[in-house]
Amino acid sequence: MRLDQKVALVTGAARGLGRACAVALAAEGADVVLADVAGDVPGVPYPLGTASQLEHTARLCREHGVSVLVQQVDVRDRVRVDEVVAAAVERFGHLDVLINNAGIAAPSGRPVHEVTEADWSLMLDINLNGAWRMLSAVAPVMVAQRAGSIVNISSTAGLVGYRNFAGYVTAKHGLIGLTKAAALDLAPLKVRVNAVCPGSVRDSDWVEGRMLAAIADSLGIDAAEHEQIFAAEQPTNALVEPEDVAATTVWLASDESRQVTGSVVTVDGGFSTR
Amino acid sequence: MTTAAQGTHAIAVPVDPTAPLSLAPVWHETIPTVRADALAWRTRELRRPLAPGQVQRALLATYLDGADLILTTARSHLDSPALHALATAQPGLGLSGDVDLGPLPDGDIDAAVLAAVAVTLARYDGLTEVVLAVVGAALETVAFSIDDDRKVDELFARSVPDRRAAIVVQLDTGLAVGADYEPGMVTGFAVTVQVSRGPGDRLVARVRSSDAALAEMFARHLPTVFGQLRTARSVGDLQLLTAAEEAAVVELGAGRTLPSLRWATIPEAIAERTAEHPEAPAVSFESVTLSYRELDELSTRVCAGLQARGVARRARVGVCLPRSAELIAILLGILKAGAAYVPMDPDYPADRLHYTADDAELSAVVTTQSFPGHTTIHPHDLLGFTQKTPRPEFGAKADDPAYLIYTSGSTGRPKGVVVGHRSVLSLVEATRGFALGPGDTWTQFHSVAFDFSVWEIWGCLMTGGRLVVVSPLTARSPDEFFALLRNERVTVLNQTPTAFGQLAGDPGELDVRLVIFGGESLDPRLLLGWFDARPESVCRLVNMFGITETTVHVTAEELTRHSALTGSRAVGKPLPGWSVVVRDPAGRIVPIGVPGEIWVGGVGVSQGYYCRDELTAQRFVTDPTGQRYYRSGDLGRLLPDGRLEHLGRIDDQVSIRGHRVELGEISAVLLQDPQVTAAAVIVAGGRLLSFVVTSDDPLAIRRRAAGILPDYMLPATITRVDQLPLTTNGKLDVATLAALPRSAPVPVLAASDGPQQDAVQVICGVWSELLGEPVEPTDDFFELGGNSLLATKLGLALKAAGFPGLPVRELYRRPTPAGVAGYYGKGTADPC
Repeated sequence: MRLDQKVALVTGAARGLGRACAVALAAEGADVVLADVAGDVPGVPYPLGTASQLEHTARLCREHGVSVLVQQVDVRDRVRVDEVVAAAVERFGHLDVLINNAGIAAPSGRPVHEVTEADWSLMLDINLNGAWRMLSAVAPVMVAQRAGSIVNISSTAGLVGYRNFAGYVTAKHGLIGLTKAAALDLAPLKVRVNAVCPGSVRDSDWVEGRMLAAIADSLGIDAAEHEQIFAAEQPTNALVEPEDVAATTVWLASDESRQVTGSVVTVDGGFSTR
Repeated sequence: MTTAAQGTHAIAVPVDPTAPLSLAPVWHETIPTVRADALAWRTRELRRPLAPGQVQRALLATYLDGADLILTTARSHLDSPALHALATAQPGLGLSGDVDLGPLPDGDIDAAVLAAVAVTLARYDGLTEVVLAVVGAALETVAFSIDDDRKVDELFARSVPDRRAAIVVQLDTGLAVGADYEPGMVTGFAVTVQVSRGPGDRLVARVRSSDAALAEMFARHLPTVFGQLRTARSVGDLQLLTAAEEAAVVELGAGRTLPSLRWATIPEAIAERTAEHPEAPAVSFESVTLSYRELDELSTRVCAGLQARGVARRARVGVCLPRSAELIAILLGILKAGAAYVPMDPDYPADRLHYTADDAELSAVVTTQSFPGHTTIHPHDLLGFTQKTPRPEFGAKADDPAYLIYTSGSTGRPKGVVVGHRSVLSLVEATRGFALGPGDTWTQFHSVAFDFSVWEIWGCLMTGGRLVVVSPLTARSPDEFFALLRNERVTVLNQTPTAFGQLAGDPGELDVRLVIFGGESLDPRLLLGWFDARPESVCRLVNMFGITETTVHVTAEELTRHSALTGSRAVGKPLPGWSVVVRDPAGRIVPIGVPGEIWVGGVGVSQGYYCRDELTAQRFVTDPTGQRYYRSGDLGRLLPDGRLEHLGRIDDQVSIRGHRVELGEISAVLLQDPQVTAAAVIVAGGRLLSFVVTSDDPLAIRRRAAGILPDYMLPATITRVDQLPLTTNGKLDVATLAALPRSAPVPVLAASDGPQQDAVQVICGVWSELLGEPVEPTDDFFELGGNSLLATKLGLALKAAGFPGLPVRELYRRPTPAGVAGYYGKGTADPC
């Protein structure tokens, strides 16, 4: 139990990578706070995680014998973000891990000069600012503890560019910058900040993933073939599994990575190496 | 062939399933002897790529002196008794350890072992013939015929070289094992049973299987059966389970004890609710609402009116009226008079109604229709009866019948199930966990002629809720029903899965807090969309398996997102007071996990069929301990956690959109037609299809059948054939029938507004083209072979036909042409 006695807060925990990370953390003994918008967001053209899915993630975590706190939160809402952190501390007394996973894949699919003001703002507000809000709400708690690990879920789109994806790419690149700056600010205070860059993650059944399908949809890639198309672009010829990313966040959350901060860990089957 | 110490030999075993089973060596190679890491090495060896030509390595034996991968065949090839044709199973595969079979029996030991294995296997799978592979003095495949009436001595093996076996028995009964080698699993078989000699001259068995639970079961039952071989009179007398095991199985399938009932009869329970809140609304229908007090007054009048007409306690009173709030008062009035109500749907053909009235020997029928030969009472005469009050001593007692509900009969005519007050009260007591109460609003969606309505009506009124009676037209319109649910703020919804799937609207807008599924089997995967819109924390979904003969419900299973994601088919544990036990056709209790017929016991078992003593004696049986059961005819099995899994029917009873239908009843009715010389009815794609041998026009036959059968039992198609195809066994060849081209279906929906029907028909046409077969407005897309890929194509096809887009999620919510038309908004198909 590599995370025994630890408390982890995971955003975007209803499904997908968030569910995978939450369950992986719980499997290592961490109590978890599961946060998700649990509802659709106007402007996002695909259905987001639901309350039922969030409850299911909670159930899966509880099967590992840990305690679970479920919170509904839109990461654009600073007030709610602060409330969630306060609720977590009230429930558990401390907070050791933050997985900044909440993020949207669309609205995307347009060249940079055709992206609307609204779409650009939405993408950055959720994917970049949301992570910053969470981080800055959690950091004081961790600083007071002189202990903590923050993991920002970026993307290979945070390392390289993609066509018709400018908002997403900018936000994910921004996350890397945030990671490094925050790492420097918090290192003397014994709080670590790292980023994970997943490549194309398979929409696996048990996590009810949708991200890859949403990306394919916005890029106009055939739904029936998008998995093969994405997989063929990875040097390993296979998609990344959610468990692969989850395992990385577990390592970064644990004390095994105590000297790792300001780092970027890429889990992409070699995609961004070329 | 070298000995073990010098090396090991690999022998290839052909695995062509059509080839006769034989382990004759095909090739021969020497593999270096084992190193330190024996298991890993052995594993690596097993996984070495195979030569082309379907050749498989068989890991057969391991030697304690260090050699291992010996693959060999007939014992004659071996130069020492220590070498055998079995392998050591890898850790993680099922091992049973040593099972003591007892002292060496007299006579042919090998034959006895084989007989015991055969009988055990037969009981697991309900087989009358068992095929075993035997590795003994020679290698052969043998078959046993298992006939319960024959003597045990008459169990003998006959050689069947052209068959394949799933189980192999290694007979080493002349050998002591353990000293020289560790026998293991023979690959290519599901189970390996190895029998040899143990210390003290006893027979020892080892069971290996990749299915650990199966190995464990086999290891448990084999000694039990083996030990009875000498003393059992017949094969049927052999008991698979020990008395303790049987008791454990019975215990597992028993619901908790039901606390004693507070009331003796339905009217008493409702009277208590009435005293508590007389002004609370009890029943609503359209603009009429009756408070509990008003319901009480009206039903008392009905009771007095019936008694004045001589209706005595335990009489049977028919009710043939359209739905209304007053109908509920009439039913309650009949119960107050101490009589049982016999509900009849006014939409049924007259023939069926009169048959029911005759068969049930009704004292009277409350109706506005005519029933020749029976006393009819106009409902107004009862509702307006203001003379003397009823005498309490004429009221019902707990075991008096409360209702007779008629169900489809396999020989052509329906039969009446008699259910007493006590059973209905038990049902409400057993469902306390649903926390039903005066704050709830229920719907009566189902006809009073179906026992789901018994739960809807009395479950509601006995717990103080408000019952909203739904008109048949509203029930048939997904949009209107959804609006009713929303507007009436319904909290408790009872539905068949089919009807639920057609609900048209955003579940987030509803107040429903409890949905109970019944009447047909549920595929929980279709619930994901509902959960997303209305999570379990806000609304409970419960799947209940039940039968009319055991008072509506038997088991309950709480549904969660987990059930939907895994597609679990479990129907849950029995309600408190009910019990289930699974038995084989001979009535023997089967082990946990083995399929068989579900027998239902407990307080819900009804009194039997009215005036059908023989049938009642057949289906309602008493076991040796005096417990009374109903043999359901449903296939199922008990899971280790005590939940029941429903596996279908044993016979020809089917569920059509929630209605219980005996195919035999339909074919019997068709055969009664003077123009029909042979008839067969099958179910395909959720529809009834009939095939007749006749010179007459099928439409004319259908018209005549419509005068006898209710609309849900009318076949969608009647196809003329020259003769009914039979299999080589002389049975009806259902597969051939299902593949025959059929005549076009006749629409069965009542005609509603024209534009709606037009849109529905166009949509049917689009579906029909996509799915390649005739489609009716109530056909389920997925039952007809649709999947999510075809769903996308359907959306495009509908767009091409001028309809708006159809999101796949919507198709999952309403998978019928009628439902899709409803989604488009009353079907006024404005092309976009």
